[in-house]
Amino acid sequence: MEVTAPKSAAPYSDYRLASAFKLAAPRLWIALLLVILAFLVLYPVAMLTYGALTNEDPITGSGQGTLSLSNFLAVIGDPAVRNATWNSLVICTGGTAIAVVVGLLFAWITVRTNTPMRRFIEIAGMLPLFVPPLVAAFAWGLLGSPRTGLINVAFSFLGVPLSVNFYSTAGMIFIFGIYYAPYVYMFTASALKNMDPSLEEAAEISGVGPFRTLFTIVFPLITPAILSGTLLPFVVMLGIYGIPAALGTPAQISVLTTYIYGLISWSPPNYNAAAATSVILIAVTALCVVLQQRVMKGRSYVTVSGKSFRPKQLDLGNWKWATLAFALAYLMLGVILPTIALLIASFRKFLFIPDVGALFQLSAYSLAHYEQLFANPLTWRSVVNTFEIGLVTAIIGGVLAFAISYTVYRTNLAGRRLLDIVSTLPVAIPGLVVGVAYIWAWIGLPLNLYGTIWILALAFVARFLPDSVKSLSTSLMQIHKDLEEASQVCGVGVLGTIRQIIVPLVMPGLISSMSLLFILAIRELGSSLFLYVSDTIPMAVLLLDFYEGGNVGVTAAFSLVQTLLLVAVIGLSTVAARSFATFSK
Amino acid sequence: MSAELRIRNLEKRFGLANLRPAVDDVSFTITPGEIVVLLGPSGCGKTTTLRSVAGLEKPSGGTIDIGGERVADPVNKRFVLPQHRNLGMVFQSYAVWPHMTVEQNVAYPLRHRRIGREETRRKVDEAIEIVGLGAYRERPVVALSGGQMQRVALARSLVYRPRILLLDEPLSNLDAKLRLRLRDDLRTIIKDAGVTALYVTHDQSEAVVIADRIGVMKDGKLLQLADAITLYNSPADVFVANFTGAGTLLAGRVERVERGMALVQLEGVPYSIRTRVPDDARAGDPVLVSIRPENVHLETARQGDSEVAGVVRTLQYEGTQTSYRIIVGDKELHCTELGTRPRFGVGDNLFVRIPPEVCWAFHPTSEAATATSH
Repeated sequence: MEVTAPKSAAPYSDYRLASAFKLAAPRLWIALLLVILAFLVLYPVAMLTYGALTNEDPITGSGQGTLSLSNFLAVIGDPAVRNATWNSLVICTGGTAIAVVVGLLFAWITVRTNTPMRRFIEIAGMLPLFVPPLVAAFAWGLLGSPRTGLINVAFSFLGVPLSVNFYSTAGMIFIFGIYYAPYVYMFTASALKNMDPSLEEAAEISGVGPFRTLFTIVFPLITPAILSGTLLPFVVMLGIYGIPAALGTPAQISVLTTYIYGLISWSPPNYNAAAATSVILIAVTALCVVLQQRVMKGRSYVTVSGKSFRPKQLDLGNWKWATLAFALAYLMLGVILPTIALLIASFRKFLFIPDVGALFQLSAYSLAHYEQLFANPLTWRSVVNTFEIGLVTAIIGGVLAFAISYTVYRTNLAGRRLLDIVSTLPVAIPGLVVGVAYIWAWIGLPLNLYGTIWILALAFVARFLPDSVKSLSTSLMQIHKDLEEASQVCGVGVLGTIRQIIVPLVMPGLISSMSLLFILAIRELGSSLFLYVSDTIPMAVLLLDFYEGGNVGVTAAFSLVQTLLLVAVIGLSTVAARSFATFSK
Repeated sequence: MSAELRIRNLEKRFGLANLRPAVDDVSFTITPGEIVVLLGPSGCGKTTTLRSVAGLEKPSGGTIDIGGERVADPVNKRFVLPQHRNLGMVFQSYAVWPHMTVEQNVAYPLRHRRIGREETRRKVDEAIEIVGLGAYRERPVVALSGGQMQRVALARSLVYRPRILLLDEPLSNLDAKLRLRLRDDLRTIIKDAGVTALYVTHDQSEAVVIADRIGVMKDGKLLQLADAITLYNSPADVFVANFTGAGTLLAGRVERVERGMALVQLEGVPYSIRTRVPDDARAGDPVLVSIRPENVHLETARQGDSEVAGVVRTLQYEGTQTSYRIIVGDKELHCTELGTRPRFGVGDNLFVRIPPEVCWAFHPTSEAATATSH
């Protein structure tokens, strides 16, 4: 019995007809993806630029305004903007410097030394990443406010003639440094892990000691990773709103993000100046991103050599206790102290702590703040909203990222480069600016997107598109091209191959990309600020409301609840991704 | 079932038109049931040729016909997608799908061919049996060794009785021992299936064992397509001679020719050698004589007048054989002798006998300058 592929036996004319369709289909597909990206990314950015160049209002504007650079000139000439820009640069540079030192040290300790409890340190080093910036800043405000802060109370109890004030430039630098060190750690640790130890051994055999080897061989080799790990947190810090809002605004230290927020939330809102300032922020961010990609160009795959090395480990002798102490101190500052502060603030009836002894009076503690938090219908509303938004973001974002990564990395369709570029653009758009751009783009249109959770979810999809495309294309590229071609040769077309070979194999990657999106979405504050209405308020924004309303106890309680929810989601998604990863390469 | 493959003037260019094409004017035909191996160094265009037949590359010129059906003809904008060509292919990386069992991998192509459950089962059983994996059908493929994975790939590509089987360096990811075993099995399995096969490799010993005919490729061109005996004994040019392991190339001039044999006066050696020559050789032509190390005989004493005297310069003991470099005149001759005990030492005088029927002379081409004699 002879078996032939049904289609190869088809008459010639059928083949022609099919091929006419097949010629058109790929172009339609690319066009569809480009239209979606234009809708999500290009149109809002174009409207933002338009807003920066006119004096029209996004709500009532007719699109007939005259174009001029007057907004830019006004913004650049405004000493308040210059002041905010200067503060942004100082705080982010200082924060980056601390993050690099701490992150690099952490990477070296966990990968290259015999410090005890390295696995634990590795996890501890990543924990601060899960604390939302606003929560971190709020907790440190509790610890480090000039008079009533817990640290100052402890200092006066111990008779230490010192006092700290975290409502300051130095305080923000410190907080940024602590909470963005894990970014540097991630970049440099993997570079250190994947370095061939024989390179160092060769240096040592040539007569160079281990510490000189570290500075003459190891660090130069991972310089691209260090530089990249420097620019990335810098860019992220520039766009963060939560930390300067909690610690800078009360002390009247304004940065670009809080300044933009002010422009829109003050009455009357100045949308045009906000747009112009946003464009400036995009420009600064874009510059850093371009620099980062220059640095990483051609070296980004050095770390994925496929070989696995056993990294060379340095015997630190008794110094290993010093490195362990350093790691524990970091864990203390990043996680334990803030958690204690939040616990105290959320369970104490009144935050005022005259002395250390007052901390241990049980009668001062109660569940009142939690009762108040959960009695508030807005709390429940915001939790439901956040999960809805997170789910929609994860699903739309995950599917879109898969479609884009597959098209860019696995087909040779014309236009895929453009697709790649447009999907990377949001890297240079800070969250808050995405919010401003989406106001300009959607508020005036009769689509009724504004006021629904959809506008928030779509803004998040756009904002996190580069991250999700990157993580998906990494897992897609691990699937050998032969696996696809084998299926084609076996007689299965492109769509059938995607469905039966690619999707099952990429599923663990897809699940973890979607989890990442979900986590990023429920943490996100900046892009939500201008896009929510009272019905669609997400948790992060409600927390900011509580904070600005001055209710410290409820803010602390909600901070803990949010952090716990986040940890639970991360735990669940890790388990989900692992259960899908039953077959490995 | 098994079909004829006819390739005419195949050309494939990657990127700019002024670059050398990866496949340059290649034409050949494989008769139904025949196994042809394309042999050549990496980058010679053999894999691109195979992938063009599979439909995984679009040729930029020429035509490909499978069983009389034109599947690629860029001039007339005809291109049949791989899934509609009804071919089987075995990849260098095995390309077995890691999320399926052995049975699911093998059944996969049949699921898309609207075949009854009963018949699918029978065919899958048969294919798994042919490659000797009967005991493993329920196993996930990731639990198999490399050799077993390659057997799964083979079963998967044979199960639907493709018109042509394509094999892209199927053994090169296996370790040496396994490679030898599967190499011998491969020819038997392909021949039993009776399928036309196009096989690509850079390993000449693999090619010789598996092929009915071998095509040697270089820089995108097919230099010679012939059975192994012809290829080894009458290589078309210096490259083919070297690639199939020619030992020594000695320059000389034809003294006289009669009935395919010639007497050649060698340069730098006080000796005229009798050798086979191509039909167009004439007296007075400059030629290169190719002498394989395996065909040279070493004698302790002169037997007649066909020997030439030499001195052992170096020897390399290789366990089951010994390789000598012997000074003859002012040239060096390579010779390999089987046996676990070397018969000569460095500096020994000996006589070299070269049987005329295993010598081959060809016209020196531009490649003669780059040809090295090892």
